[in-house]
Amino acid sequence: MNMLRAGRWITFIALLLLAGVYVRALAFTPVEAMQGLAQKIFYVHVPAAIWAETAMVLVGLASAVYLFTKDPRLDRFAAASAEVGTVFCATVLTTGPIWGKPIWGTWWTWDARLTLTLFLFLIYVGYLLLRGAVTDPGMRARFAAVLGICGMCEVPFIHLSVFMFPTLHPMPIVLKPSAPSLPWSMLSTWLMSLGVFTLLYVGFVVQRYALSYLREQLETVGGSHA
Amino acid sequence: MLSDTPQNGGYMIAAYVVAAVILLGYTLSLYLRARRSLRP
Amino acid sequence: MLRHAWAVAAKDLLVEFRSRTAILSVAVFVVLVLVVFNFGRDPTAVSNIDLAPSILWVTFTFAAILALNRAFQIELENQALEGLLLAPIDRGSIYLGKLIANLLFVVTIEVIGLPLVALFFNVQVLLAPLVLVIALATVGFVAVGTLFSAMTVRTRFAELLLPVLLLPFMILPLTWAVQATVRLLAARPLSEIAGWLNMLAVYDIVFLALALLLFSATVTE
Repeated sequence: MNMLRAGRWITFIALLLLAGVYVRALAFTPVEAMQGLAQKIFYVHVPAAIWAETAMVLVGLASAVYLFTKDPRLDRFAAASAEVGTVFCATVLTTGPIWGKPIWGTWWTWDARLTLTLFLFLIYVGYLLLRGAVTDPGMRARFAAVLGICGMCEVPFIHLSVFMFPTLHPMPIVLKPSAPSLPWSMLSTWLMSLGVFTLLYVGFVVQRYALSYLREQLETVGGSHA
Repeated sequence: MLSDTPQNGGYMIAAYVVAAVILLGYTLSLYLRARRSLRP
Repeated sequence: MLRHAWAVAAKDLLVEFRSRTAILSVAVFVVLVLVVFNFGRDPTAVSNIDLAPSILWVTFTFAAILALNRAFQIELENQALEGLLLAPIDRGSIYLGKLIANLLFVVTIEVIGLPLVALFFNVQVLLAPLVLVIALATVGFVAVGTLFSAMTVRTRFAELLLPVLLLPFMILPLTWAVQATVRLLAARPLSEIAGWLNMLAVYDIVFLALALLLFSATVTE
């Protein structure tokens, strides 16, 4: 299946590049004096977080257009983006506390950004559960679309909360209105990581999309729901 | 006066490993599920 | 459209009134929560004011979830939804009707609960800004909840799925409301909670509009 093969190749290349980023971040990027080595978690944590949120926005957009056009490709894409987003979100939620423990002294705090990232994860889980709970494909697509749109609309509120309420979580140093306040040696590594995560997102989504398509073929042929 | 850079390399390794496990794990999941769907 | 909405709401409320079980179970829950929280703490260590916001909001969210589960349950039991859909009324009216019915239910609980908290905890809760906060937050989660319950009621694990889906959408207005409540009960100036009030209001507007638009997608065949 062409799409599946393309997806696998893209993912493979992305994973290789990820290894490259790992090496670069761990061995060739300066250590941040105040935080120490743990700060390097930033190079994985932040790009994953960006894609965890972007994936949700994309789910929402695809869902919205789906409700207008009823094009099943959009539904397949939404399902794929949601699953991949969940994976990235899980990455954020695991690397975050591992970073937090040495820096803030605690694994978790009910601080705005952490709490709301947790809830982004719950939105994702809810979305996947809803999809799993509806057997009729048409209804599943419609319901998922409704939830996807709502999920996307939550994301700006999440951001607003972070900016409005002072928090333990570091304020954004890269994605903010003024220029990023990182030295180039670190910024370049971060940008590379962002690029790799982007590629990884694409690779994963393409594969997951192909998987949906394969399963649909199976269902129409009368095979069991995989 | 000189503030020591904290020694927390262990956490860094842990996080990098966990992230790798999740991403590789998902890659594997995708691969296996696709293979199962292709087989019949 | 509003007229139809009232008709739908009236029908729902009539059914609920006749059953009365839901209101009763929530009333029992309110008293239970109040008693447990009161006896479950060391009065010298934890003051009433510290506990009150949590109690308030635990009770109200429970009531909201209960109301939402009941509302569509009733529909499903009597297959009234099909009938409603055949009627020549706008889908938006159906949503509004259900929203109004759910809101009235939850508000009834709040109207009972709030004075009870004031009474048992000796906390001044009958404050206008607090009422506003409660109103805004309630509209927020009932609006989203009414939309979601239309979907979950058609699934296999309806009662489990609704709270799971709703949780992240409730938490957002809830955290704002609780923080505002804490400050209001501590007699902080209004200016401190203005931000939260704004967020709650915007949230309500956005999600109400969204729910109205999306509702028909949850009930079309």
